[in-house]
Amino acid sequence: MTLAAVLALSLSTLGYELLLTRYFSLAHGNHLSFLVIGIAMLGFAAGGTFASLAGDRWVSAARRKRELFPGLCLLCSLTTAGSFLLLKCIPLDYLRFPVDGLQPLYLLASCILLSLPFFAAGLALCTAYAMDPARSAAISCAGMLGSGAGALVPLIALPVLGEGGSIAAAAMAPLLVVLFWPGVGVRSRLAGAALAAGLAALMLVKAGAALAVEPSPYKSLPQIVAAPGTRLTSRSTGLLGRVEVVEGPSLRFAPGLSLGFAGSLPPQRAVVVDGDEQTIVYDLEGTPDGAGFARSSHLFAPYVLAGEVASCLVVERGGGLGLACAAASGARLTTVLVENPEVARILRESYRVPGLSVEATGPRSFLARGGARWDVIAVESWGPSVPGMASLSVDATLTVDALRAYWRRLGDSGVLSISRRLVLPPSDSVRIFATALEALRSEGIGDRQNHLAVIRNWDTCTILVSRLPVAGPGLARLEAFAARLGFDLDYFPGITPDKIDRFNRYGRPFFADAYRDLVGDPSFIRRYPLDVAPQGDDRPFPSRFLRWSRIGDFYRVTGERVYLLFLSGELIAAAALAEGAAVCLLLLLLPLAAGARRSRPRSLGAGRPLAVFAAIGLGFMFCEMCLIDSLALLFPGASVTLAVVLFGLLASSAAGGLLSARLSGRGLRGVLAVAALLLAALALSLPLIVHALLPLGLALRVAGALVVTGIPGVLLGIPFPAAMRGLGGTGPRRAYAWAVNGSASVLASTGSALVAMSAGWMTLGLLAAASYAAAAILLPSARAWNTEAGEL
Amino acid sequence: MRRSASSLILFLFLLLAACLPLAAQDFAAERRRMVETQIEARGIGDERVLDAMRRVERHLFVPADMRGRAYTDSPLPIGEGQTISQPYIVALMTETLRLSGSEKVLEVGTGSGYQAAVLSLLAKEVCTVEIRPGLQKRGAELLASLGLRNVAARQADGYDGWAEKAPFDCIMITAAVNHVPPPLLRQLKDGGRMVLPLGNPFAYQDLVLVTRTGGTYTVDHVLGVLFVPMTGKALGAQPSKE
Repeated sequence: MTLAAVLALSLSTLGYELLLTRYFSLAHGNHLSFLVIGIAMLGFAAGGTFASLAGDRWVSAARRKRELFPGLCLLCSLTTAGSFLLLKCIPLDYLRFPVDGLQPLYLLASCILLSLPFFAAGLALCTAYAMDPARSAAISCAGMLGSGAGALVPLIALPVLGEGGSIAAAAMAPLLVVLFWPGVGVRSRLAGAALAAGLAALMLVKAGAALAVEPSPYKSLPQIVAAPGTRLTSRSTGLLGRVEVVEGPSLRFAPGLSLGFAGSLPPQRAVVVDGDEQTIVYDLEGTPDGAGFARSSHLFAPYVLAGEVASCLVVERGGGLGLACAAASGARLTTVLVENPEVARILRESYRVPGLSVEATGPRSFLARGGARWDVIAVESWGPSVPGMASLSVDATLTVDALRAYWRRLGDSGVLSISRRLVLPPSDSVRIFATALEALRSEGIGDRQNHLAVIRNWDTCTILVSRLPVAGPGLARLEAFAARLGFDLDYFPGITPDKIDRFNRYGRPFFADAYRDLVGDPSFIRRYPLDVAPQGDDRPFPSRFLRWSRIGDFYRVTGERVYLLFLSGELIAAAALAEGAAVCLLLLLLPLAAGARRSRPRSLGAGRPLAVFAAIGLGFMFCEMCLIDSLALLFPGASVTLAVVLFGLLASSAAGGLLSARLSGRGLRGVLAVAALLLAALALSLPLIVHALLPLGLALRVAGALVVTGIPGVLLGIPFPAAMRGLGGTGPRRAYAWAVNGSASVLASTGSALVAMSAGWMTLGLLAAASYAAAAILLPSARAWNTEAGEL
Repeated sequence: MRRSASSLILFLFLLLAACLPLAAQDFAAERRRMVETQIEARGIGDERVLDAMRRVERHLFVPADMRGRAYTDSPLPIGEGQTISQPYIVALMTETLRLSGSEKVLEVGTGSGYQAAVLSLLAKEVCTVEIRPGLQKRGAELLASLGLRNVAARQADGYDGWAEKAPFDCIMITAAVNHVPPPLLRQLKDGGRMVLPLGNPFAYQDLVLVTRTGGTYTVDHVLGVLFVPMTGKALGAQPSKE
């Protein structure tokens, strides 16, 4: 019974955890989805605190009462469904934080609500360990196996049940134990049946309307569908996101289009992913000029600069105008790369342009396979509709390594173009310009400043990187193109002040000044108030720019607008870390204070064994986050990466849990030491491994990732159950050790975002290794462990 | 008893009558203070604009329960999720158009009618369009009641402008848009100017001045602003968040 409950609870909570990241991605922004792992760990830790506070009575009651585990399963199911339904009722609105004093309370209420199912599961798991430490290996195996299986829940359930239905399905998993496991009492079975019926009704009534998840009103989709005559024509949901197609006469998406364009745009359909990233499908047969309108956009600049274009590669990361430009260029061969297979299918079926092919793959994987070279590579990537909302997102499309890959696949006179929104103060485009300079330096281009140009209108820009120096007839064509359509050239080799800010003027030529300084002043990046340094694949956070040392400057230059600070990922991550630390401190001090009141201050154990549990918690979570961040390059979308990494790591940890049963007390130190060495080696070799896997097909990449996560997983699955088994002592003490481990995981999960953003994911891997090394050092000798473990 | 009651009513009536001009005088003083401290102090120097801001009685354009705050340095709600802009922004947008008095101006988004009233004192003709019927009716009636005969108002989606009255010397959009509506560009005269809050309607925008010279347009960024979103074809009837 205990093992079945542990397995079902672990499956349910991990499935819920992953589905919550999907919920937050849709209904809010990635700022809140990153908190989910921390909230889950907090709930687990709170379970340990509760059990250690309840003391021996709890553990002995658990041994006596058969209904405890079915009861915790019921509680977990109820709180999973209940927390989700209530969460939808809380008017949490992240962007209103600076103007609405109630928003912090809403966030707090949301966190408490969401932690409840994890609390129930954590309580069950730590009770299982506390009751029967000799079975730690089996409990750990069941827990990890359940969690591994839970990682697959979104993959299986989302396409069929949607976000809300999948959460209801995850909530039902623990009920299986209540309903079908032998020996469960009648009352529990009846309660389980009633709950299951209620969840089924929620899924069925009005096609699950009560469980429906709507995107944030700030996202593109609610704004598009509100326009007159606009209608949603299809919707599909999967691990790669929700894809919705919208049609309507008011759709008008043409970023970078000249204000002087007097023609009419073709009819459009919007294919929207997760309510925000929209790819527009133009009906090129809907107007006499077909794709001709695209020639009036600055996204057409690479074709103007390159002259004759026979082949082009279009990387669509939301947009669609890049494809129209390729069609307008008359290129004989066009390959379009779209990560989402559903979006790729729609594009494939919508465009009947000769020589056009659409591939459902990410650009890095496609380029790593080698093959043809292109006259134009056009990257269209507008980012989120609200600036800053992606500052915690990992995306390796615009890193130094990525630009080097594009460069290598350009033809002899090829041009790479990158189209982005303009952001004030200048940051994103400045970093891409700096990245291009760095990529060209790495490729051994001496006169790299001669290979760049930047063109823009009032809110978007295209950065051009040319194989040939930007000069002569190509530059003349580009200048004429810009002048005719009212675009500004912010940079080209030899640009003079009279050619800057002619049509789209700020108070000062901020952008042109920044590009000029980047080329001419080596100290510019260090001096600049924002972090615009080029990023490599180990730190791929394209939307974060804050510098801790210059927060005051940032606040001043952005007009002292507090809400702009809230759009920065670092501040959110730092606030989450501080809050997590405060709550964890409370969770850990409460049992100590209670013990002191009972004049048993050391009944929860000496510091060293607890420090070992803390180090193991830190190490495991740092490793998990390192693998998630590093392997993101291999997969389309964060949810896929999460599912693959968590399945690989947790399922293999189950095997480690089983192996721990054979481990002697002396062997644990060895395992910890080997884990530390392995993680250090893995952290250092991950870049090579990832780049070796990159050219492979998706199935092989998944298999490779499972091996990469599985090897450390087996090893990392051993220490916790082994330590728990060896800890001995009282039940509350083991529950407290669980709470310490969980609290360390909270700190590591929230702190990882800060570490990864400032120092890269390799540092996370090294921190994981250091944590296991610390655990090996701190581990008392077997005799001392038992002495310290005993009742003091 | 009856006599003393009548005396009391008479006294109260006289007191009220005495207070009315006093109250009006207070509004006038508040208006002068508003212009001095909120508008001139922030660098608006066009005397004609300042004079118009002194003359138009802003308190008439806000809901009755808001009149006490009519001259505060902030936007105010006027119902239906819409706002009357901060006085400084009204003055800034007006000054940005550099009106000489001979222009035909299109205002997109009548709202309370306050901006149209200010424009009417500075331009030859003002055409104002509002998509919300309730607001449009109230705004148009108020503008008519003030005797502003050079203002024409109608209810329509301002995205399409006012083709029958086009072309315009100047166009002002008083709600946020994420692109410049092409029909409005087409209704702008050569040499004409358009001022609008341009950017994400649900984040922040740049107040920009678009100037047409033949087939070429220049865009000058004036100031970062926060406006309610433009509804209708520009965006859709989305409830305001700010």
